[in-house]
Amino acid sequence: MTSSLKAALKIRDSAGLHARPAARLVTLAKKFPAEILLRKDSVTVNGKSMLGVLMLGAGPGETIHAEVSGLKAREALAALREFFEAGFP
Amino acid sequence: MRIVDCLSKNLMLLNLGAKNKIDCLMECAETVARNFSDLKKDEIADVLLDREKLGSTGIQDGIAIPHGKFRGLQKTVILFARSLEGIDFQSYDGKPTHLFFVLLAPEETTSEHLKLLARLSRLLKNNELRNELLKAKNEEGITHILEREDDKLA
Repeated sequence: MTSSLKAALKIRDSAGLHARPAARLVTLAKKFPAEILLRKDSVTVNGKSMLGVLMLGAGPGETIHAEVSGLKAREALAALREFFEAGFP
Repeated sequence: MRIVDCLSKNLMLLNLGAKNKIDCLMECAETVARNFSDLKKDEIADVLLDREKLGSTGIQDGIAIPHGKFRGLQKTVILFARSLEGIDFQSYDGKPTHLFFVLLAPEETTSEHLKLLARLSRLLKNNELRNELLKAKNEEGITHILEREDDKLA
């Protein structure tokens, strides 16, 4: 029985989640076998799809809700947290 | 801002001759320069190519969204280009790119740029729409398809 892990991730980067950080986020997400769902407002997307991540149109200061499940979910969520906290390194 | 508000028939290339990324962006830049006297072909190409060096704007599913900021532009414009053969744009899914939405934005447009990217992505997520864009016979067809789908978005 696996349950999903959740976290609210705040965007610290002043330009928001535009194309370059979106590409880096997807590259990071793809390293993990876990399923990664990202939601902003009413839009939920696959965190491993660049088009999906861009669909969020997430600006500076906004919050993305991550829901991670499956294999290595804990590790994946920790990596996502770190990525957001560091302002999309 | 709607996608269609940024498009114009003068900024559509339905049959790119280019076979690679550099030629593709040069071809796009040339068309933009012809329509905007303030912008020079080489400058446009340089900005777009510099952006590609930071990571390809070839996204997935045959779509690329090359983009850059330009002084001298009053509002964001989008050039639509199509390659039926497909171009190796170093896309993230490794597939050839057929549909190009080249975003040219004025300098100070962070939030608008994000919203436009989001809107384009929502639009292009639709597999059927992408097929329709590949099959459209002329500029009117492209405009019509995008207008119809753009109207469906909130």
